Amino acid sequence: MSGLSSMITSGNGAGLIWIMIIIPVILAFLTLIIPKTAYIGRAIALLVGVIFNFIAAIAVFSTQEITMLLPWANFEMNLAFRIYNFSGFIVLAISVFALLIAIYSVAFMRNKNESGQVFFFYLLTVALANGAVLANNFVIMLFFWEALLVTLFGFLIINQKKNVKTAVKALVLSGTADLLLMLGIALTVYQAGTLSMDAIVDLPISGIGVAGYICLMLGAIGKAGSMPFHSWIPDAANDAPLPFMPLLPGSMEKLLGIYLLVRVSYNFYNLQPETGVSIAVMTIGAVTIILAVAMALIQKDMKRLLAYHAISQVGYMILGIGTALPVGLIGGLYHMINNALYKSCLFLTAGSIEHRTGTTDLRKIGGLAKVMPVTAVCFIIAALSIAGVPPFNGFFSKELIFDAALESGWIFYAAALLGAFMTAASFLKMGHAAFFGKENAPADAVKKESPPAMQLPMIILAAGCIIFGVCNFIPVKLIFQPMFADIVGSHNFAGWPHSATLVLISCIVLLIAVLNHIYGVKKTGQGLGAVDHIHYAPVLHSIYNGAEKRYFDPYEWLMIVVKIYAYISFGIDRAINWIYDVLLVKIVSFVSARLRMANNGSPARYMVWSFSGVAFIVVLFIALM
Amino acid sequence: MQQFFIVLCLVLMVLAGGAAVMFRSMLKSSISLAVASALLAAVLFLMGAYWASIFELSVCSGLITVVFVSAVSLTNTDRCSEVRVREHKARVAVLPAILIFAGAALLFILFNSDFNIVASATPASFSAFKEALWSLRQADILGQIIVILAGTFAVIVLFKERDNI
Amino acid sequence: MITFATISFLGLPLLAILLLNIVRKETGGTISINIGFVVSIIQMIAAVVCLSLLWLHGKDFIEFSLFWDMNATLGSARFSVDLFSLVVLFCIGMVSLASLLTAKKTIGAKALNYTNLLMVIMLGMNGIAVVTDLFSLYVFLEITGIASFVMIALLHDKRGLEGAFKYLVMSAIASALILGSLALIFTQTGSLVYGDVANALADWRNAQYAPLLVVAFVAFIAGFSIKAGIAPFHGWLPDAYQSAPASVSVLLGGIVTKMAGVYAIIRVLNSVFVSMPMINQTLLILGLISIVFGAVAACGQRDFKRILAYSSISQIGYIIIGIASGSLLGFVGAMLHFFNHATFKTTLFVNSAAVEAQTGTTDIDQLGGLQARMPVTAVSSILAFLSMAGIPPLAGFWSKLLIIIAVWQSASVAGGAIALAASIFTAAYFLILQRKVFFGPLEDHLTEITEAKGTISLAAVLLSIVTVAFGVLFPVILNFLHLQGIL
Repeated sequence: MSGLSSMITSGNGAGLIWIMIIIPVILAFLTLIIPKTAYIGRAIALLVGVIFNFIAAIAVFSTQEITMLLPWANFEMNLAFRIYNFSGFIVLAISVFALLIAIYSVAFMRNKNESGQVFFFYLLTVALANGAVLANNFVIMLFFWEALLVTLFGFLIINQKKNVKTAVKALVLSGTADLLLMLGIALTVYQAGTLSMDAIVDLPISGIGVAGYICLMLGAIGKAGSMPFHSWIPDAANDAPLPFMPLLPGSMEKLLGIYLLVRVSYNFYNLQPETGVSIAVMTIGAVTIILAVAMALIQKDMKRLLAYHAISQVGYMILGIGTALPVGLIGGLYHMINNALYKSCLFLTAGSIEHRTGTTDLRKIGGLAKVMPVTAVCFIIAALSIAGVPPFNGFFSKELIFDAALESGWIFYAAALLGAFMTAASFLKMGHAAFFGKENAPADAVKKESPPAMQLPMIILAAGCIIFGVCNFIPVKLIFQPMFADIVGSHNFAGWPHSATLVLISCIVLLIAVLNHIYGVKKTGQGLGAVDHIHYAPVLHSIYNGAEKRYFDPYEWLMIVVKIYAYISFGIDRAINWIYDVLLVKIVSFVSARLRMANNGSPARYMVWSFSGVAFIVVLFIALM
Repeated sequence: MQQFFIVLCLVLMVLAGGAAVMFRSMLKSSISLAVASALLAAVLFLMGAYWASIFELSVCSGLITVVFVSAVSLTNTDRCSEVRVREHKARVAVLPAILIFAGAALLFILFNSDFNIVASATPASFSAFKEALWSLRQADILGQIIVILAGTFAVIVLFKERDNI
Repeated sequence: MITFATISFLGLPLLAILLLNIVRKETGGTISINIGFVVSIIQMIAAVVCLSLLWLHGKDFIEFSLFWDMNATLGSARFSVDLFSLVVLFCIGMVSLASLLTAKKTIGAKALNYTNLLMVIMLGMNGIAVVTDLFSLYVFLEITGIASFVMIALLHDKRGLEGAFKYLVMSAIASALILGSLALIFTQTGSLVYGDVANALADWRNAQYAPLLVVAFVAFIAGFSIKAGIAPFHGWLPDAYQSAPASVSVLLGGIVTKMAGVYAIIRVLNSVFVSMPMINQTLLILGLISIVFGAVAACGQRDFKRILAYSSISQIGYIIIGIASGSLLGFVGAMLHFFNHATFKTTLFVNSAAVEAQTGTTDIDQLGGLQARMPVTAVSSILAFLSMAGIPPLAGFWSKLLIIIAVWQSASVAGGAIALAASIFTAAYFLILQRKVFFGPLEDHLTEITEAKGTISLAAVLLSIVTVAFGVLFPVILNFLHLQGIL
């Protein structure tokens, strides 16, 4: 009774929070129940869920600020949620991508056995992500955050009933990140003395705070898929059902991870420019950019290539946010939303090709621009965006990050430029190989454009790339700058980049990428081989070889450590095991067999027991008196 | 005098209880249990707890034991497993210990106690007692009715329905 | 409203008995079971209604009588319901419903007799829950006892009669002990009404108790220990549970022994023998013996129902140590464990009934791999066992936790540690049972087995939902306890 009466809500519409979490969950279970033959029912459940979520998210975004507190258990573990402009925006962004990808998935998953499971995890993921973003209590946030791990695992085992290697890999890597997050939360809560997230403000990053910040930061970027928690993503690209890639690594995980990173760096802790921690974060970002994009460069499969880019682009965001400069923060956030737009668009185009040709292997396809014009146009727009060509959205956010990086140290700027070069080169290669050149497709391919339900999301996303580029004042000036008004101050980062020099350098880099492409194509005679001269360059060749054999995969290193540890433990375990497994069991089974014999069904014997029981009580009484 | 009877009944009760443990046959041991509880009823009566004694007599030693003993004898389930024979000797060894212990406990109590009801609760006259009995005991009367009901069902189940013996 | 609700606890089963015996015997089977459903559901509703009324009016208890004026000059018998008895009344309704659901598919031609006896047993148990007088408590105890003897022997087979007879013999000893103890208490305190006895005993508080009173306490503990099946007074319990018909085992294991023994002990310790360290200490030790003994003995059993019977002995031990800790927290823990035990043990007995109905045996050596054939039964039994072993977040975890904390706080660290360690054995016999019955390869002769029929599975599902829901919502209760300053 008192539990309910002390529910504290300020502002109207706290019910929105429940709608956003509970309705998708209910519909998720509905999709599981609906039989496979009633595919339309499953599809409607999914669409209703995401549309509801979208409407609720708009309502959330347009409300001012709501905090909701429902005491749930002791020790301050309250069901607390908070809507404010930042969390509201992230929820809205999640709902937009969820809606678009859901429309696409409904068309893509038709006639596939696993549609029920995919839709189930889809809706569950949306609900959990909403909960994780809106939570205002670390325990509650951790609950949703960890539960996302379960849906991640679920998505990955759908296609892999027998071999669950990728799923386990994802679970271990993301689980490690989540463990760090948990540790970080523990340290932060210890330092702040409260579990309530909005009560933790600007802790200093010193002493225990350093450990707390680093753990939280690693947890956040681990969710976003940065190095060294990245290596499951390319594997998942091959193994997971298609909607997974645009939904999770493509958009939602970036949104969640960067959301938390920003909150950690600018709310809970007070990240200062040119401190050791800031440089550490930027280094992680820079290394992620270069290594992941270098791997992307040589991939021969569209989905795998895009997966490496998904990792590489996180590097830019981390680099921007890690500078702790206002321009870097706005650039990082702007890049986050841009990346979600063009990356999910790219994954959708890859899915569209897979839908018609049955493969995304660049060696087997080519010249598809004629048969799939819409897909090709959407791909080109998204590719130009990610390569950072003006006036598409990627250009503007990258320029902001370049600005921040240059201010923090030329080496970071150089790394970012190198990344930009390789990004452009790899997309030139992929676009050329897939859509132009000689027409090529597997024998069983259906040579026509994908259905309208798949085209529509791609078109919307591609249009988003243009709008957010040309009208960049919408995200920058109207959304992000007011959110962080106290940090940004009177700066205005919208519009054409301030520094003409930087724009010039970027354009030169793009030009070099084009020249490099032309050189490569001339040399090998095909689009796919455009970067072979880099791939097979003397030193790089052996490094690439090692990378392809997973010598540099942190997961493999971890597994070696685990194996050694396991061998040592095994010996100790055997010894202890003997005590438990043999000795103890023998004793218990001996005693208990005696007891079984003793209870032989004779009432007289039971009477004797009872009388001795009485005697025992008397003895106890005498002893206690 | 009353004290003497109480002691006598208690001693007999212990003996009957011992016999219940000793007997090999379920039938005999249940009959000696009935005797033991009848003796308990007598003790209760002597101590002034009249309604308790009546209840004990009617329910424990009366209704239930009779019904069950008849059921047992009728269905010939008296022969318990052979284990009981082997066990008999073991029981003979336990019995003296119990008897000695019970006897010691009884003696200890008897020399140290006073069996009279505390004055305040003793009704002044029989009529007052009767009044107190019926005005305080409605719940037990209800209970008695249900006990009789249960007894009826016991008879129905155990005797009337002989279909699947 | 309140009058209806309270009177329904005793009036409704009586009315039902009348109704049952009006219907013609040939057609009476299904009708009688349906009447039983109505009675047990109304009882659950009435318990909830009373609970909310109690809450709304902020009262501790509601007093009522049946057909006499309870405010007569000389004082007269009165019934009373408080939080604990209402929880218990709800459990009675719930377990009776589960038993009826099981009976519907298994009892066959005995439906009318079964329902008649069920009504009597409900009367007896409801009576135990609402009386305020030690002698009335005893009377209703006897009613419960008689009805359960007859129910065990309901099928009129040799095994049932033997089981019933053992229960009868041990119960007779228990009755003698309890009645003797009551007589002694009466001679020493001059009353048997809970409050009066408690007041009279309070006067003794600082003096030595009279030797006769001490004898009364010993007899009292021993008598109720037999009724509750606490080790070493437990002998009859496995035999009675095993030999009873499936639906009767559900009832016996789920609630009857708990009402006759455990509830009575808790009630008396809470309102009569208030804070008497001697009795608390004795019960604590007996409870611990029971916990360890029951769990160890369960590991060696070869019969589904016998394992459950021994696990009941062990779980009853937990409830007893909870109340014996003497703190309010311990009482709350005991009450909640009472409820949880009623839920999960009933689930398990329903599962055993399902297995028995489908395969014809409860011998675990002859079973195996039933999970594939009887998924509902397998899953609900796993949930129930996990709850019993105290795995969070299921209901059993929380109540066990409260009990162990309470015992720990009552300066009996060793007791808490033993109770905690015995949980391992709970897990052990759980695994033995699950492996032999539900997991592993399907035995050849079991390939034709199907899931239990409708109502049995329904009962298992409903009870599993209660277990899970109660466990998940428990933090709300915990929070409430915290606000009340209990935790």
